Amino acid sequence: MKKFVLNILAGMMLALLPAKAAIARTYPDALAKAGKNPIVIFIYGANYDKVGQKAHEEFVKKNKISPFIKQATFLEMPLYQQPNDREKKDMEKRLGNRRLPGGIWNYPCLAVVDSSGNLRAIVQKPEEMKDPAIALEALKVHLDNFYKQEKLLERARKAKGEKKADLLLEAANIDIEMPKDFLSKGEKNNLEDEAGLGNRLSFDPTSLVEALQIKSYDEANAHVRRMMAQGGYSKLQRQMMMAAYAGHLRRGGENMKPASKERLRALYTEMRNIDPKSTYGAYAEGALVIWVEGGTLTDQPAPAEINRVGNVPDDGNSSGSGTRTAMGDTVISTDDVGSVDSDFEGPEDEEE
Amino acid sequence: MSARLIQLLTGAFLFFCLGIAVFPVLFPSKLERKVATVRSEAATTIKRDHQIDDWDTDEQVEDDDSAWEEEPEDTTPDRRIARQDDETFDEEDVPIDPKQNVVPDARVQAEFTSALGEMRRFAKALEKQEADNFINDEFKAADWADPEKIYFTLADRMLSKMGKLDEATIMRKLQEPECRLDLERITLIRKAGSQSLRTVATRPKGKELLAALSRDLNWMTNLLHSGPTKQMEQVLCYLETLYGMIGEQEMSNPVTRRIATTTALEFAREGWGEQEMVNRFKYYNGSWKEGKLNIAFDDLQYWETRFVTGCKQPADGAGSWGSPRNLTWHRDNVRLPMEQYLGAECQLAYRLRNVAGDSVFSSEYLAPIWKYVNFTTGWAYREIGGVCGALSHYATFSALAAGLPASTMGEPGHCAYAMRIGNEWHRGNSIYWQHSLHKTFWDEPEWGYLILTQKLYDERFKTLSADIMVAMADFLTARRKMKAAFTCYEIAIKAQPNNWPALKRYAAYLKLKAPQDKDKWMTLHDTVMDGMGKEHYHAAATMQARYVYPNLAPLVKDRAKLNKMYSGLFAHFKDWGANRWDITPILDAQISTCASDDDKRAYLKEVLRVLMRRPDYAGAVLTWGLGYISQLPEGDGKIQDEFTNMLVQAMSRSGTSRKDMDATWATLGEAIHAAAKNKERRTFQSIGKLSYNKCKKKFNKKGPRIKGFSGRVVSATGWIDTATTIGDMSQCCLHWGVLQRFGGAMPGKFEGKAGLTVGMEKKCDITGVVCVSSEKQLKNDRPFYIETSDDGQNWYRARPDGVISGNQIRFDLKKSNVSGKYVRMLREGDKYEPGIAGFYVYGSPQKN
Repeated sequence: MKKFVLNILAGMMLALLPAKAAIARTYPDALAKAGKNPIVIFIYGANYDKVGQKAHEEFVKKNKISPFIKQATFLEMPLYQQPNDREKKDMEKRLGNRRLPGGIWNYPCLAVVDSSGNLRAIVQKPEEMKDPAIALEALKVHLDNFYKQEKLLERARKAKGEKKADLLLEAANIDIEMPKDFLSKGEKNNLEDEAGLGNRLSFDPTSLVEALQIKSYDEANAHVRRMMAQGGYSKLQRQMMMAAYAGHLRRGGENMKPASKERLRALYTEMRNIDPKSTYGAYAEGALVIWVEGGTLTDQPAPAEINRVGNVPDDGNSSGSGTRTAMGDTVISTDDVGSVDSDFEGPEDEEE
Repeated sequence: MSARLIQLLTGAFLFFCLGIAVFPVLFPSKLERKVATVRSEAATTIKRDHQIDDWDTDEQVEDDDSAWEEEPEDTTPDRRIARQDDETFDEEDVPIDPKQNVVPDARVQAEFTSALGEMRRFAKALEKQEADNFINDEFKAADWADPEKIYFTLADRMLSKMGKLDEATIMRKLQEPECRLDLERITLIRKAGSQSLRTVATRPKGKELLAALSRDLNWMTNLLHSGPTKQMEQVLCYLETLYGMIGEQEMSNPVTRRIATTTALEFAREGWGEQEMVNRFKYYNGSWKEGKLNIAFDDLQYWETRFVTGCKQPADGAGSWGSPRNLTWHRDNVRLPMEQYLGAECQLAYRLRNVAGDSVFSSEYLAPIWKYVNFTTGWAYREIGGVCGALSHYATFSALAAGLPASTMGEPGHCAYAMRIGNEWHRGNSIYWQHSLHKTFWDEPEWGYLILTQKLYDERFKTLSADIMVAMADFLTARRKMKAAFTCYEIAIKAQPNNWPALKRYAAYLKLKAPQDKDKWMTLHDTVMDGMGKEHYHAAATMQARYVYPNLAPLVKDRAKLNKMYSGLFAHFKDWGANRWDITPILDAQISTCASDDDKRAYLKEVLRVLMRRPDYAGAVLTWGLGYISQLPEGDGKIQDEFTNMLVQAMSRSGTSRKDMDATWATLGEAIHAAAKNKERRTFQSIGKLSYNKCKKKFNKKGPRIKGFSGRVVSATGWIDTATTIGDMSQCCLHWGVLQRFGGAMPGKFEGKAGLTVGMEKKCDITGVVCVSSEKQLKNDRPFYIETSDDGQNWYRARPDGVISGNQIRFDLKKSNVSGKYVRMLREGDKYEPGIAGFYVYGSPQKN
């Protein structure tokens, strides 16, 4: 009996939880309701995709998403392929006169959008979306980040001068997208920016490549080190700077010999160490293998013999899973190399 | 003595052996003689286009079968069924029926009325019967050890059922499923060849497959009539592998069977390996079973599934888009509704150089990232970015991975793609009209053929009924029933006039059996115009130019009539049809039938009369005309002058009203582009001036302000060309403006080092060159330099290099003692350049 009562109480408490979350029927309705809270949109293929339909069953129909929504506004957005009249009407009704934000590449997904319609974060990787537990954990992290970032942005709105720039930079360092309009043109021009927020906003890797390729190695080093010292750049941007710089030295400029392997080792190691798990961290590690060690990046599923009478062994080669981790069998020792480009003098690089 | 006897016996034995070896060479069997004769006739009379395979394995069919070779040739005829391809007509060694050994008279449209009515009923019967699939297991697995026996049993039965071989009986009988299954079995044996089938049947799974396949009418029909059936023996080997791998039960699932059959068909046709074929099958079958493909895949027909399962680059590894691992990645990471795959390339950053500065065309571009992305091509480009090739492949393979038909396609200096949404094909990332599809059924890569293919198979049962009639005609041809074969081919093409392969096959048969029958060629000409010519202009014109004109033209003695027929082709077309197409091969084919200069003049006059009235075609015909003139042997230059005058007059006649101005501008743009490419200075200038007079509003009023060099602007009367590929030629008259004081516009996207070239009227002493950019402030980050030449072949660098000042690049050559008839400007590197607004060469013409 005691257990029964406890279960009832627990059930009632659980039932109360989703009540905090607002459920919107349409996108304009969600934007209007959201205020300072995020909107979580579950977008899925309703009439063409069994994976999407299954996800809809798990996330929405079984209500697994409710405990994670909290103060956010929840919107369910079915997508139709070659919609019939009824489906067209449904889509028109749900979207109103708005369009979903760009940057969504894969359905089903959980998009975190602010009340201005900016896409701030998204859970869309198949390895996340196939399991509600993983997807909702990722969503939770995004929502926590949203609130953290919003708090900082709110403080920045009230602040002035350097303080404002510092707060904005701190917000930008949180691992979700900043809203597009977080700084007006006028504010951008009058920003007192010791922290280097402007550097981050105006960074263009292509221009950097062009600027470096006509410089001597000394000049290129000074240029990149100066940029690094100015601060404000994200880890990704700093890795891109290193890629451009190391690329210039690897190829050799006009009337310049390519740099030594030791110098490249130092640069690529430094680049990797900025953020080893990122794409450009992996790029740097690959560069160390092929351009410094002279090795090759390999992956070798041996082709299976086909028996003409018809018994083909299932070697699993066709599955081509995208979840295999990179760099698994390549070990690059970092103990014997410096973490900075030791041939050049430049300001010390600080880890973010 | 005994040793001598042994020597004699040995010698006699060796002589005997030699005799046996040489005998068949000197005295071939009847069948070999017949096949050889028909083939050699076909080889000489059917013009093979360059894409047709050689089928050089045909000889192997008759090799290595000592059991057959040992049979006395005159008493037991060789019963092997040689593999028949789509380009030749093999006849068997059967007696000729005199009643059937005649070419029937050409028939007018009215005489087809009842046959076409019967064909409509046939198509309806096919549709009705598909739901209740017909199964007949008359031939068991063991029977396939002797495919010849099966063939001759079926052939005799088929002919006896068809009675007198009149068209009514043939069409009525083919509506019976058992009769159709017999015909499909015959077709299968003829397409694969009996030797190949026997080899397949020696293996346990092979004979099981043949039994299962040949008892199922729907499976046989889909295998044989869903597009090209090249390398059928390889198709069967591949199917055997898949059948052995998954077993009969799974193979009986309609979707799995469709995936298996289309994969085997496409991999055999493309000549791709077995391991890749198995991997591709496993990808699609596995994905479908897991419910991971787009639901539209479930309802695809066999022909459209071939676009999907036959997508290119099947090998595993870095850079391959069609590998299972890449398809898997796209399937799971780019899941979209069908409509959104069109434009999915926007998920990639457009980057000519990566952030390390490596060119997208270098192997360094993606090298360090491959392991991180598990050697997955689409993933690699999504991380690093790419240019048109990567972007178009990304969108295409995202759709293909989901099981939706799509294909990449080439354009001049660019890569785009085609994607089907519903039943309509759309272009993606396309910037030019010249599309060359990478997946085609008939080796015709242009857009019009894709639309034709779609249209053909949209009318599925109408097309199937025609295809079955063609199969019947092929069988009758093999059995030397010429009259009935002609009837079946003719009804087939009348019933489905969009059937490109059937029309091609009929034209080849007509050329083989009745090359001088003018009425039949004329009927074929009219069939093409009334059928395919209603909507599919490019295909219709190509059919005429490639297969009809070369045979019909020599039979039409009245030149004026022939010219009317030629111009009538274009008079028949309202516009470009599904897409713009290249009319050059058609005009070339037409003018090539002109024997004398007089014939050519008359032809050109007639064709210009018609085409210059059609805004869509006018520019293209002028371009062709200018190109044609430039290739004529020099002679006394009279014909060239007459042709040029005709073209310029034709241009001058084009309208000047506001409504006409845009069309005229575009027409002249194409023509001036051709003149520049052909280095025709006078024509270039004539068209330039004409365009200025007719469309003054299109030019600037004032030119750029320039401080010149000594002498006069000697380039103003020359031609100018750019190394940039120009897709849209409608603005090319502004190239002429680039040489004039008021300026013009030319794209500045250089390719490699080559830039602009100017050909002047005479060799000149050059004092300087000024190039005016459309960009206000040029970056001073790459050297520009000038080269000159007397002959346009050998070039010499002039120094000093250009000096950049604002929007101008100035070359001061006063002290350089530079001369030449041709001047070109180049620059280091391969960056995109802004447009060019003016280009002026200063100096003075040399007297001699």
